[in-house]
Amino acid sequence: MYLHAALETLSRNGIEKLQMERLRKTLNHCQNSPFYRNRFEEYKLSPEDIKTLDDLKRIPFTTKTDLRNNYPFGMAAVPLDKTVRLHSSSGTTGNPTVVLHTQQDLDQWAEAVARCLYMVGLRKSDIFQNSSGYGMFTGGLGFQYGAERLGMLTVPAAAGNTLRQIKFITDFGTTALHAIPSYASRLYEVMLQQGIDPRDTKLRTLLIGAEPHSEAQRKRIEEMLGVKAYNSFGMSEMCGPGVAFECPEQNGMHIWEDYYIVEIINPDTLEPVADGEIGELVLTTINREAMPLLRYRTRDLTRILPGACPCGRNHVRLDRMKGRSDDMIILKGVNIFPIQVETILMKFEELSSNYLIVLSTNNNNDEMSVEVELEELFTDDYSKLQWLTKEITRQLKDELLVTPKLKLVKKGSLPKSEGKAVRVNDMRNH
Amino acid sequence: MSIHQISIFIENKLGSLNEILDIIKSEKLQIIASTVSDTVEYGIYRLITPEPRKAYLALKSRGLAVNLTEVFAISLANTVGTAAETISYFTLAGINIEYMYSFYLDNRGILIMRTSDTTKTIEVITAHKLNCLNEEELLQFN
Repeated sequence: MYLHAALETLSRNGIEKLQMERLRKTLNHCQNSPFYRNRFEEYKLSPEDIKTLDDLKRIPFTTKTDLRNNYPFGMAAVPLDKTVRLHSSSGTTGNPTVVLHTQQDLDQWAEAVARCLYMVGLRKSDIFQNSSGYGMFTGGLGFQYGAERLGMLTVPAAAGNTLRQIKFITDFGTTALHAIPSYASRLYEVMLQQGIDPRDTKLRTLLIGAEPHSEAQRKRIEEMLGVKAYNSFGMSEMCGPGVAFECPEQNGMHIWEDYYIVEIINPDTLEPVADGEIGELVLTTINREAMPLLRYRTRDLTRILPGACPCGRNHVRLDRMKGRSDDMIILKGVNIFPIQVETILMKFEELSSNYLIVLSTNNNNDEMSVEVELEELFTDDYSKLQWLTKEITRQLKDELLVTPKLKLVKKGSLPKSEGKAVRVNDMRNH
Repeated sequence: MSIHQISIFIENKLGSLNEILDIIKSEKLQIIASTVSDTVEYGIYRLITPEPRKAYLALKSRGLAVNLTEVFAISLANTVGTAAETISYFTLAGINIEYMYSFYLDNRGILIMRTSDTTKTIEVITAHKLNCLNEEELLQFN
């Protein structure tokens, strides 16, 4: 049941004791990083000032901008010759962010991923196919090393080439697949076109994540492919996949508190939110050598699920990501997250899971339209189609507080990337 | 007494019809009749083919949103006034016609009708001994 039983079943006290021990070590180690040494001097802090986990609040936040400004190696806490791997973000909006790893970091990362995979029931007898992009994107190598660590036969299929993915699944007898949710839907469609019933394959476990999705979308994927689908959370700044993962309860993702100290803050006031409330996830790494990060603002919005998990792990559970604070659309002064739109759309069985939010300016007036693919022509009757359009619009308005224009489109007509799905097209001219 | 029509959701976009017709062609199916109706943003393409289920599965497996709809195909003598008289039976029975289209087949006029009440429609057809095409008869046109 547990790959690392002693660590996974630590009591709350046990977790906090271990965290304090590792935090102290991390703070001392941070003095080797030019960035943190300067920052501690600037704030007149020394590692000794942090005596309890609560004292962590005295340390300023680390942001993505800090990572960019210290590109490429300014965050490192070890000499470069101790590092063995570098991952980097695409850097479309400025300097890329660089994350460095020592061999020990890679080992710890692989252990974390292996722990997650074991938790959802995968064993060395499973055949694991990874449809993540390889290379700089951490979903490729991250899962690869974790799956190998667990001892599974691992197929680095990489992203795209759907026909080949399906051939691998059927020919190799793949039992577990890592895919982003929108790609899982795509696989299903292509399988049907090829005359393959996904339930006839050996695929039983799907690992999804990296893209916000609703519970309804998960259920749909499970039904389509005849699998159990487990949500996961990872980010390259923390290492990549393996930060938090669902257990068989499928109710929230356990974040490994022997690796991270978790805080949830209000992104405006930067104060901690009340227990169970939604806010921005802030993480402190306490198990990392090459590039420790203190109070890193992830920009991901989530909350900590209250209560104990029946699986016996006391590591807190994160609710599914509510989008990123950067993804937020502001329309006519109203804050909108794409996941809100998705949650409503997924309630309607007639619709596919592909949708696009289009923002445009018409006569100096900002407008939002939602295009969604019609999955089934459930009726031959126009008035019923019109009723559907009105009903979806009404529910969107209740949720968003602005009235979008709803457009039904033909299945397969929305841009569908083989990677992360593009959900927002902002064409406003200001 | 009734037959099945294929109804397909289409966007008002160049090439939408061709995509459907190419699929029908590749399945080697005849089209006996068809009609397109539209609103501002989308339309429904309705067609009658000798093997509706085969067409339905072919279109659905290509990812199109399709509906198999029960309609009546009333066969009328090719004389002036027949249509007016026939429709009056439905009017008198209080049956709304949701949509209708017509075509010639073997020198007879065929009215395809979708009505608001299938049970009542069958009663009217039986009472007035109206001649309806069934699916077996359609097969000969393939």
